[in-house]
Parts: sequence; C-alpha cells; structure tokens
Amino acid sequence: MTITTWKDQLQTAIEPSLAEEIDLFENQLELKKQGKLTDQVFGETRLRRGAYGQRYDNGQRHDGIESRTLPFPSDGLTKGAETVWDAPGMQRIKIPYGGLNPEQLEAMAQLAEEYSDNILHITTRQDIQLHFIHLEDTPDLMRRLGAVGITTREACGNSVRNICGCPLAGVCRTEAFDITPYADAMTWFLMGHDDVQDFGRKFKIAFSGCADEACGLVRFHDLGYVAKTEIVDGEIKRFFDVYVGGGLGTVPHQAKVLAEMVPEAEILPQAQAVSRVFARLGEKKNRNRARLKFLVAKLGLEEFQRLVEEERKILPHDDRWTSFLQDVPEQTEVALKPPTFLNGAPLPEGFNDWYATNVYHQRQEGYTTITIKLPLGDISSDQAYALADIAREYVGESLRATVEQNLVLRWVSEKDLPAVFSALDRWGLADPGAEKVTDITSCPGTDTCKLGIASSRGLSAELRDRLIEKNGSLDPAIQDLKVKVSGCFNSCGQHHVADIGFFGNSRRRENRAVPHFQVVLGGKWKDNGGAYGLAIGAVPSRNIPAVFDTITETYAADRTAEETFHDWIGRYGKKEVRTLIQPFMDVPSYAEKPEYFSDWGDPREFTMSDMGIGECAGEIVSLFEIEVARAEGEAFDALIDLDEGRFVEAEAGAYKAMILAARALIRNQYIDIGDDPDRIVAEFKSRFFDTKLFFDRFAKGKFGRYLFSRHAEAPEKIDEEVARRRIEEANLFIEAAHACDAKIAAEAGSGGIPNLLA
Amino acid sequence: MFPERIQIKLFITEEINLADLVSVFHGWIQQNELDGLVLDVADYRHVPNGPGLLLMGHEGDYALDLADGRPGVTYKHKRDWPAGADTVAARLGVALARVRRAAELLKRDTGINVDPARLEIRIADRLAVPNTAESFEAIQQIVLNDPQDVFGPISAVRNVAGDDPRNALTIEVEIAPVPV
Ligand code: HEM
Ligand code: SF4
Repeated sequence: MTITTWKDQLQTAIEPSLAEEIDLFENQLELKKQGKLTDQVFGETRLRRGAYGQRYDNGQRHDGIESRTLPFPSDGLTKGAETVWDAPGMQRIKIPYGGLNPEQLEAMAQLAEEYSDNILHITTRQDIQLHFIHLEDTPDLMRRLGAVGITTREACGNSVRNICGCPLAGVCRTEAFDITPYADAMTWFLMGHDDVQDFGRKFKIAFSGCADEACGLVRFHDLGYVAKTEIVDGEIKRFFDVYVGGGLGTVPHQAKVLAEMVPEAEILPQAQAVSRVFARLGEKKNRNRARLKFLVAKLGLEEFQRLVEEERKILPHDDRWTSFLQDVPEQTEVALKPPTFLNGAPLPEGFNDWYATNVYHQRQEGYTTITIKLPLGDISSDQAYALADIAREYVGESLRATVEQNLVLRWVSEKDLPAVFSALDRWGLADPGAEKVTDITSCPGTDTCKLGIASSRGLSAELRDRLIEKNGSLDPAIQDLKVKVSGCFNSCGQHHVADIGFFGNSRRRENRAVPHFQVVLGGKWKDNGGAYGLAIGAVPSRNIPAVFDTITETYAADRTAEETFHDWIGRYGKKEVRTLIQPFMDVPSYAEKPEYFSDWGDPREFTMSDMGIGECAGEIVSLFEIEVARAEGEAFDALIDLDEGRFVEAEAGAYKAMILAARALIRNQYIDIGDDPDRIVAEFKSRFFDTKLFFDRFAKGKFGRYLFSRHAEAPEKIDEEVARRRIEEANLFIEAAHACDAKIAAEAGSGGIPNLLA
Repeated sequence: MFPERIQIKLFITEEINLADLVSVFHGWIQQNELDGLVLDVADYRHVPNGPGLLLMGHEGDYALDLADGRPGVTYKHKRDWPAGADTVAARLGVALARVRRAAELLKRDTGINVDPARLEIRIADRLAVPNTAESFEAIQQIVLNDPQDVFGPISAVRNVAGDDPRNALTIEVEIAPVPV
C-alpha cells in the first residue's frame, strides 16, 4: 500500500487558495521549529487560523497538592509567548451564522474522534470548537475541513470573527426577511479582505431578522444588522438598521444606531468603510481599549458616523458589493419532504414534553424547526453521525448551531415529528426543555480556558442536574428563565443578558482561595440582548444552587401575573435581592466545611495559580478584608441609586467605592493614609500601579486606569449609561483589589520580594 | 497500513457511577500512576453514551468511556510512540499494556472489574487505516498472529464497525478463558 498524506489525498478536494493558505501555515510551523519566526508573529498567525491556547499550556498545572511542571517533550520550543509547543490547544472552527450540512457535521465528528476527545463543542457565537488539539495536527485538520467547505481562517486573533445570525432565518414567523444570504455575503467579502487585516482587536458582526427577539444578539456586537422592509414605489424593498460599538466583555456596551434603513446594496461597502475607520483610528497598543466600542465612545457617535460616510465616498468601487444580490432567492433552502400535518398517529413516550418546548412552527405551514438541546453545548462524535443521518433522512441539508449552544434541524415536516423524536431519542438527543431554565449556557471556564477563574461548566452541570430533577414541580415562571454562566468577567457565557447570570471570581478566607460567583440579575435576552444585568454580590460557588433557589422561589411567589423576571427585579429592588442572598455570602472555616475550598466538578483544592497568580501561603495580617467591605457596600449603594434613578449619586458612589478599595490596599502598608482622594490616588499609583502589583495578568493596568481617569476628571453630563458604566468599573476595580491582595499575600508567604513583572 | 492512533477498550459489565471516579482520576495524576504524561481530567458525564470521564495525556488519553452504551476502560495512544514500537503488533502491545495498567488501578482503587473475555480495538486513523475489508483483514491477521502473545488465547475476531466508510475501523477480540 502506498504511503500517502492528507495533503496528497485531498489535493483536488480543497479550493486552491484555501489549500495554499494551509500549506503556508504548515510551512510557518516548520519555520517556527527552526527558530526563524518570533513567538509574537507565530502566535498571531496561529490565532488567525483559529488555533487557540488552552489552560496549562504554559506547562504548569496545580494538581491539588502543588503546582507542577508538565514535562512536555518540547525542549524549550514554544508556539507563542509562554506557550509550550506540545501543550494541547483549542481549535475554533468558524461556522458562518451557524449553518452546516450533514457532510460537514460528519467531517467534524471524525476530526473530534481522531485529534480531540470525541466531542464537538458548540459555542455562544455559533462556532464549533475542538479541544486538546496538538498544533502539529492542525494543518491536516484544516485540510479535512477545507475538503467539506469549511475554513478556520480568522476564527480567532484580531480579525473579523464568525458572523452570527438567527438560526431561524428563512423560516421565522417574525422576521422581515431571511438574513442568510447577507450574512453569507458579508462573511466571504470580509474574510481576508485587505481592509480588515490591521485591527487592534477582534471584530464581531451579527445579523438579525427582527428587532424584538434575541436570536442575532445584535446589540452587543461591534457591528450589527436588523432586517427591515419598506414599500417603495409599490414594491417591497429590503433595508437594515445598522448598529455599532456594542460588546460584552468586562464593561458591556449597548450598540448605537450607526444608520437606519440602509439599503441592502449598501451594507458591504458601509462595513468596509467602518473597517477602514477602525483600522486607522482604533487603539493598537492597549488591547483593553482596542475594541470598536471604545473608538465610538471616544469619537462620539456623530463623529464616527461622519468618518464612516467620508470613507464610504472615497472607496474604490467593488463589484462584490452588489453581485451577491442577484442570487438572493426568496427562500434559501428547499424542503426534502412535503408539508404534511400530524394526523393523530400514536405518539412515542416523552413526545409531548419535547413537542411543547423543542418544536417551533415555521412560517411555512406544515413545517417545523426542532431544537436539539445539548448539555453544555457538547455533542459526541457518535451522536453527530446519528444526527447527520437523521438530517439526511428528514430534512436534507439544513442544520444550524445556535448562540444558546444547541443545534436545530429545520424543515421537518410535521408528520415526521414522532419518527424524528424517536430517532433522536435513541441517541440521547431528544432532551426536552430547549431554551428553558435547564438549558444553561456556559463558557468553557476553568475546564479549558486560560483566563478561567471558577468552573462555569461545573456549576452549570450542577444547576442543570438539580433543575432537571425537580423540573416537573418547578413553577412555570421559573421554567422560562434564562441562566448563563461565565468563568470570569470576560463574559463569553453572555451572563449580562441572562435573567440570572453568574461570573466566576475568587475570595480569600484563612489565606486560602475560595471559588465564588458574582450574581448578575435583570439582563434582557429579548430585543437582541436589550439590557444588561448588574452584579448583586459574590457568593461562594458551593452556595450558588441555594441562592438560585432562594431568588427563583421568591420571584415565583412575589411576581404579578405576566411579570417577567427582568421587570420583577426592577420592582422588587436590588437592595431586597441583596438581602435575600446575604446569608449565603459567608465562607465557613476550612476545618468546618473544606468543600467550600474546591469547585464544582473538580475535587482539587481551589487555586488561582493556574491562571498565573501566585498561590496563598504564609500568614499575613490583613486589614484589607475589613476595609474592602466598605468599598463593596458603597458600590452596592450606588447600584440602588442607579435603580432608583439617582444617576449623579450613583456615579459619585461608584467613584467613592474605587477610592475606598484603593485605600483598603494602602492601609495594609500605610495605616495613616487618611481620607484625601488625591493622596489616596497618588499612593495607590506609586505602591500598586507603578509596581504593577495591581495588574491583571491579561487586562494589565486596565482596572487601575478606571480610577485614574475618573479621578482626573468628573464627567460633565451624567446619565444612566455613564452611571451604569461607572458601577461596572467600580466592581471590576474591587475585584482587582482582591486579586492584588491575594498576590501580595502569596508573595509574602513565599518570602520573596514582590514580582514586579507579574 | 501503519496507524498513528490505536485505542483499546476493556469492557465493564457491572454498574458504575462516574461521579465517584472524578477524584480517583485526579489522584492518579497526583500520584503519577499511569504510563505517559497525563495532563488533566475532562468530564463529559453529561453526554449520553459519550466519552465519559477522560484523562487527557500527551502521548495518549485514558478514559472511562460510555460509547455504544457499553462502559469500559480505554487507552488511546496518539503520538510519540515509545522506542521500538515500530510495528502494528508492537503498538497494539503498548496500548494493551497501558489499558491493562489502568484497569488494575481501577480495581485497586474502586473494586471495579473488567471483563477478561473480550476487548475492542479501534483505529481512529482514517488515512492509514480506512474502514475497509482490506484493513480489517490486515489487522485481523496481525491480531491472530499475536507475535508477542499479548492477547492470550483468541477465540474470535470480529469487525464491529460495519461497512460504513465514515466509521473508524473497530474490531472486537474474544479471548478464551485460560484454563486453571
Ligand atoms: C481560550 C479561551 C478564551 C479567551 C482567552 C477569551 C477571551 C475573551 C476576552 C478577553 C473577552 C472580552 C473581550 C472584549 O469584549 O473586549 C471575551 C469575550 C467574549 N468571548 Fe471569549 N475567550 C475565550 C473563549 C471563548 C469561547 C470558547 C467563546 C465561545 C465562542 C467565547 C466567546 C466570547 C463572547 C461571546 C464574548 C463577548 C464579547 C462580545 O461579543 O463583545 N470566548 N473573550
Ligand atoms: S468568560 Fe472567562 S473563563 Fe469563560 S471562556 Fe471567557 S475568558 Fe474564559
């Protein structure tokens, strides 16, 4: 038998330019091995091909007893700064608007079997991820994807990421029109475009068929499109309302309207103009201020609009701006089966529950879209093969990934529902309760993410199991809640737009780290992610299930008919909710309850050291914890002011909370600091900021600068948005103060001098 | 026909609760009990008939896997074979020794037994060993010859992957009870 390679085998199956790109990437791997590329250059090259780092890839892991060096054979070879060559990584696979066919699903399932852990993970931006991938397997993996028409190009890095779109596009009852061809055209137009190569940061785009639902989540994207129609000269014409400068992340921003009723023929050139303005004027040095949202905020919306319009006028014409419109059909997909109604046929056991929650009646009579609810966004290779078969048999091509980490099958004829249910059920894919309270969204968290603080997946799995157990008896109002969990403040799990969101953080007790989650309440999923929740308080991970029950049971008992959770939080008041969770905020002593010192699903003693922050050791007498409680109280009062419409007071309170947190750190070293804000800021700067002790490993000095810029200048005009942002900043500043205190304690314990470069 | 990735599974026929095994797996990492560089625990207990609980490693992964609704201990070697493992037979020997070691540890720490009468070989390397009759024939010969006598007395070898070309070649080996 002749020895062959995937490169030879797939030579004719891959589009030539894609094949060439992958060959080039493979060469770069070789050059890196020979020491001819720097970590920085290779790192960004790798990210732009979707090959991401993964936890422990710096070669260190805390095994529950001590932090150990993982003896990879790499021999000093790295694939980026502090990233060991042989350490496994994550491969993100771009799935534009989540659309995929059975052949693609099968190809990914095979890759998961061969190179990963038999799991395809659906992300909150409709991508698919494979974990534990060796870098040297990635070129072949990319070729095998290329052979089924998938590219990983620009899936990570400072580039245009996967373009999101409603999974119901084309079949939805509330959409203006099917956004699929537009999202598709935008994907291929911008991919690799010269004007998107010089961004300081990632750039995320989304399309939605209507303004009121959540599917596209346009309002927290850098650039977002909401479909509209209007009758012009007796003909229905297509337009988009275009949004810019939204984003979640540490401090969330709601996107603003860049332009209303933009004609369909204008969206590509306008996006190109936005890209040019962003590439030219966006921040390049400070990653933490480099997203488009900061540029829009800095320039002001009107100036940004003007610059985009100017740029648009001088763009050289490109036929691709409009050529795709010739192919925009009325309906992008064709059903495999005729539309036949359910006709009293016997129904399998479990069918009715599933039918009530997982079946959506399409605009096209007789057809349904069904949601396959995937626990934590995971589907095994075996399940994926089965699903590909089911899709081929009942719908043909049409599968999509959703931002709630599920998959949908579209164009299922109603008559086939019982058969499809049974086929799915055989493979454990007919779990009822899609998009309900048991369908919890979670980022990867400490399982695989380098930035993870607490176990978002561990907590989600725990909550899910508990909720499923009592699902039958849950109040219907609770069943409808959206729950979303992130492992840290970066909000990849989209906790800001959940009814009940959580993000991971850590607190100290008895010089040990204790996993916690911030409770974030009152976000809004509808209206494309229409409002962001606010943090109420940090609770030890172990107490989150109890907090969850307390809040939801109070809601069920207290709500008026039809009152949503978002509205109820507004009426009930954050102060009262805080009172509800207060009894759960304390950490018992280690001797009494050691389980509080480990995370859900992970019996190792909890540590922050895997993130790069030192582990706590020796004793240190700290005033900090007492003092920082004052800052937390102040931040919370600011939240109440915000709630009750006192924006000026809320803003001032948030600023004061930062001053108090800075003071708490200083008091440990300099007891007589006093109360003068100028002095506090100056001392804070020289002791903690200039020494980089206050720096976050990834966000660097971002949180410290929140204090400096507010201290230097109070805002002229204070509205709800300014106040809300200041409170977010204060909360992050307080978090950073906790982390800084932990770092100092660790360094004191190890007897070393403070590590000024941490 | 020279696969880079070979997995062997030993089946478990008794009831198991994967939740109890999470700390056992972490313990094996702490105590450095297994062959090869083992990195971390990946938990997929929530996926029906899925990969279960894995110990992800550099050269290979160990798992308590639930695939096909048949729980078992698996070891999948995937790269950096030890010196001398330059025939398929030798590679099968390496994988089998490692999975047997994991089974011994499981028995020691939890009392769970594996079925001595059968094992499954899965070759998830579609380039080198596609799921064809020819591949099955070749691997079957190697197993039956068993030059290093690693399997014990083989009573049957079956292709259990069917003829679906998208599957990985999967072979079940039945082992006759050793007379005492
Ligand atoms: C390797 C682990 C990851 C790292 C290091 C990482 C890093 C980050 C950071 C730093 C942010 C905040 C950036 C900003 O808005 O300025 C962010 C936001 C976000 N990430 Fe991740 N992330 C990781 C994994 C993921 C995964 C697996 C997903 C799911 C696809 C994801 C989806 C998101 C989303 C939806 C946001 C919200 C930001 C927005 O859309 O504006 N991230 N991530
Ligand atoms: S939210 Fe934090 S822990 Fe979760 S994936 Fe994003 S960066 Fe990682």
